[in-house]
Amino acid sequence: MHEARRPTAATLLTIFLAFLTACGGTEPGNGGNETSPPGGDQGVTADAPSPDVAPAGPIVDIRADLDRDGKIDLEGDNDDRDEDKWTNERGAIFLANIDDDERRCQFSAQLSDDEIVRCNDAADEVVNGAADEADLAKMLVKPWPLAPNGTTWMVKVNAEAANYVRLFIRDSGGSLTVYKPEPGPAGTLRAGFELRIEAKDIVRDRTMWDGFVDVTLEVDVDGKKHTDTVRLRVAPLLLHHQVQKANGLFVARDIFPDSKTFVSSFDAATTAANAPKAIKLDVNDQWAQDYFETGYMVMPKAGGGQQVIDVFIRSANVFNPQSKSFPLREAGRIVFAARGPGVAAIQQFDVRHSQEMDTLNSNGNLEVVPPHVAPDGKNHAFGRILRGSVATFFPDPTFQKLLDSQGVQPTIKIDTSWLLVGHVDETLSFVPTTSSARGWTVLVNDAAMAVKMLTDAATAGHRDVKMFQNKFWLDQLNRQLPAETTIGKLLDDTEIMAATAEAAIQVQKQKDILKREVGLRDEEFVSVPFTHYYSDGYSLAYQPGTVNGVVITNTDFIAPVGHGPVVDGVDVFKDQFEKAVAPHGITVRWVENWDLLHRLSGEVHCGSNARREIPADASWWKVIQ
Amino acid sequence: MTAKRVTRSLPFGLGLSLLLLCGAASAAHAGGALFDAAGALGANSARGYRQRIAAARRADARSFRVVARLRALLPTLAKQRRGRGVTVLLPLAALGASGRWAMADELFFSGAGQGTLDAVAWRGWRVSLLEAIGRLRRADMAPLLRAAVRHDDSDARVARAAVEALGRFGDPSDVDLLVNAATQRGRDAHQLLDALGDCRRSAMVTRLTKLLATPGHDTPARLSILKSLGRAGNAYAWRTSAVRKSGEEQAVRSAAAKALIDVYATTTDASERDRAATSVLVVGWSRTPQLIAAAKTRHPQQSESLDSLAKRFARSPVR
Repeated sequence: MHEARRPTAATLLTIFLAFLTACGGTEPGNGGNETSPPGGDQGVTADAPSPDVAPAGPIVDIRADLDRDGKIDLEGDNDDRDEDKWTNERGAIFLANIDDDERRCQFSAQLSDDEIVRCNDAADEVVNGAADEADLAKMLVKPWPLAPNGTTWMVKVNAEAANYVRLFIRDSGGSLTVYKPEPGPAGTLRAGFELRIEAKDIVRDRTMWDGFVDVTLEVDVDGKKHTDTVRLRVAPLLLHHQVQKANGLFVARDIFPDSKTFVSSFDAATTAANAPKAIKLDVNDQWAQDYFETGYMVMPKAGGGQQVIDVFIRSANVFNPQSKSFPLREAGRIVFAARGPGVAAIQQFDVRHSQEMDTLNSNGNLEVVPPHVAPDGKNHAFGRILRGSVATFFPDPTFQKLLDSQGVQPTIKIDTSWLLVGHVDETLSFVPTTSSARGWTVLVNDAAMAVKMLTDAATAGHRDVKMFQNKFWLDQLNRQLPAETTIGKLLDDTEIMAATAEAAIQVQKQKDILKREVGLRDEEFVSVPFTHYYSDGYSLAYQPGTVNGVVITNTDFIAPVGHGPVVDGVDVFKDQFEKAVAPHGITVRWVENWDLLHRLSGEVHCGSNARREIPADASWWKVIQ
Repeated sequence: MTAKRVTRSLPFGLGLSLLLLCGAASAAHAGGALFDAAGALGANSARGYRQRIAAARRADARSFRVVARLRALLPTLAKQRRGRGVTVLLPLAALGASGRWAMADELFFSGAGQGTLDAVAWRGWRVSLLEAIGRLRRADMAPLLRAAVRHDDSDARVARAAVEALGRFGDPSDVDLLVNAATQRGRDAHQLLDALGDCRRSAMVTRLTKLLATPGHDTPARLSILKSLGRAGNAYAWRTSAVRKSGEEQAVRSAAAKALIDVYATTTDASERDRAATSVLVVGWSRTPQLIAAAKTRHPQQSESLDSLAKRFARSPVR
């Protein structure tokens, strides 16, 4: 661990607090659901005089928001019918309450990777304010006014879920306190009472906990037990896709001599597009896409709407496997600076995963194919995760298991093992389109087209036209290593040409998988030409990989300046790209990333990140598997 | 400015000449050098290289300064690295042909050693130097690369880079050396085997085809051989003058395509079939449809699968 590279806690917090305030965060309070607890403020009460004998059968009835309308009906059977089952149509939902609503959690460079993740609202047994209460899903126990004296009750959760959830009960003072399973008095049952539930964590491994909890009310009347069980399911962690509107963009602050040009160019692009200005992350790592990802969790909110917790996900990059305290990529700690009201931060990694494959743990290798109905008829309303992963070259299995365990966005795996970096964003990007009912389309590297364009230009007499003019491979060497080349030289460079041919075939295979899995047609792919080169036997973009960009508004796409050959006053690659995306309603905003990113094996998508709006209808419960 | 450079370079040249006169350097194996040059090349040859390097230092001091500066920058570059490793291939390649002596000096004679570099950056440095030298295809570098291949570095990626670099020279007389270096590597053989295809010569394709027919190679090794056949016949590589000059395009690409289609038709291993298909498409040989048709005759039970390959070929972007 390099102390000098640790982010400055105070700066990070300031940045994120400002950002979250600007974005509104999650509204505090107003949580749970509308129905007041039966018995008003009485809450838990002691035994009181009552009939010695129950006139009819006992009322043993625990209810939750089974119909997901934001309230619990104690009358009728809307929130009672089939309550011990959970289906896509019916069943109550709760959240992993892992945000930090009262900003109690420290962000300190001294906290180890294990320590820093431990703090969140579910880490203690108190309700941390009104906003925290809103994150707790409500259950109601229907009053049994005639419960006989001596009747006792208890609430239990099934053993499989017991370690993963916590129950609270509304006491007579109106406060929520942690529920301890012990026999309760009849008086409480007569008045009815309110319970709340939180998950202490998201589901990480369905073989350990599948996210369901069965909450059982057990009532003991004269030694005879009566029970009623309601089943709830924890909200999954969902990832954003690029077609969702960006409400926050991120780049690393200008930490390196080469950063300034990139950062100012990025800012100019967002300004021109009227997109959010990028938050500057105070980290010594320019690959902002790689060390975190953004996601969210949703449950129905009282009175309608959605109760949301945003989630910042640290990458599983293990940069210091020998370090017990700080094994992970340092810049990823930024997620814990983001942690706050309505914002959670998580990490999941296995330090034993192969270092040779660690690059696949960068979140440039974690994208989401936007919503679609697959050829098999399955509605992937939240899209599907897309990762580079093959049998011999795959990301951290524990992180992948976490993703798989969510059950909403199954993973499509493509082969990126032929790339030196190995990320899916090197060859593919998803962008909005106005030209198809699907609403989005795919930009895809077309290396063969690059060769054809260059060959055509050469044939037309432009072999000596320059590319990469005034660009250098390292500025620290006082411009002694010019990158400048010509069309003719490129076409006669064996290693570039060989790598480009292989890239064309490998990307074709990636497209075939998307066609098969998603149902995309050939005409839905937008060709983005650029050539490749080999290093260490693997492929890299030789020309700036213009596919590696960011959707910053519904109509604006940031792409890296390609410094292509200018023929008759026109940069033919720039011109091709702009014309290719124009029919989709997309304007290209060119960002200069040669120095900071391209020559170090990445582009603008690799060097930025985005937080995106939660879908207005994020009812994942309709599609979860 | 020019005068200053010359003045600065003189002490290097003089110093090196003095060392050579004393004979001290001939016995030295600098910490960063891949191997003991005198032992690997013979004392006379090593001395000759040192003299040429000394002359190059006088003629092109800039390249030596740039290589030294790049080496000094590696820790910084390593901190900003992405992916599997650090590559400085393109900066080194930008030095051009005259830079080869500075690179050779760093790699084979006077290299500073790993120092504080981590293993990945250290590997990246040596791999990049080998790649940059190899892509120049200068005959005077071949003996050094042959020695590098024989040296069989303990880091398989460095050993691979040496095989790849020498293979790019396309000298058929190196085929045995290259193939032996790869096949004798043991568990890491697959890492070197996939570099053999950069020797785009008929003799190499023949050896690769024989390797496929030889039992005992594990799946990773067979996948690497199939990849190498694709590299040898790579359609775009054969458009470049450095490769075309051998005059073996038809021999190499047709033989590679045929061998790959045969494996595609006969293997029961899905990963082999996929790799063979990919390589068939990378080769993109114009007579692939006829080769597939012939394979259908030999392997009628694979007709359907061969038809599928033919369809993929028909819509392949590389032909």
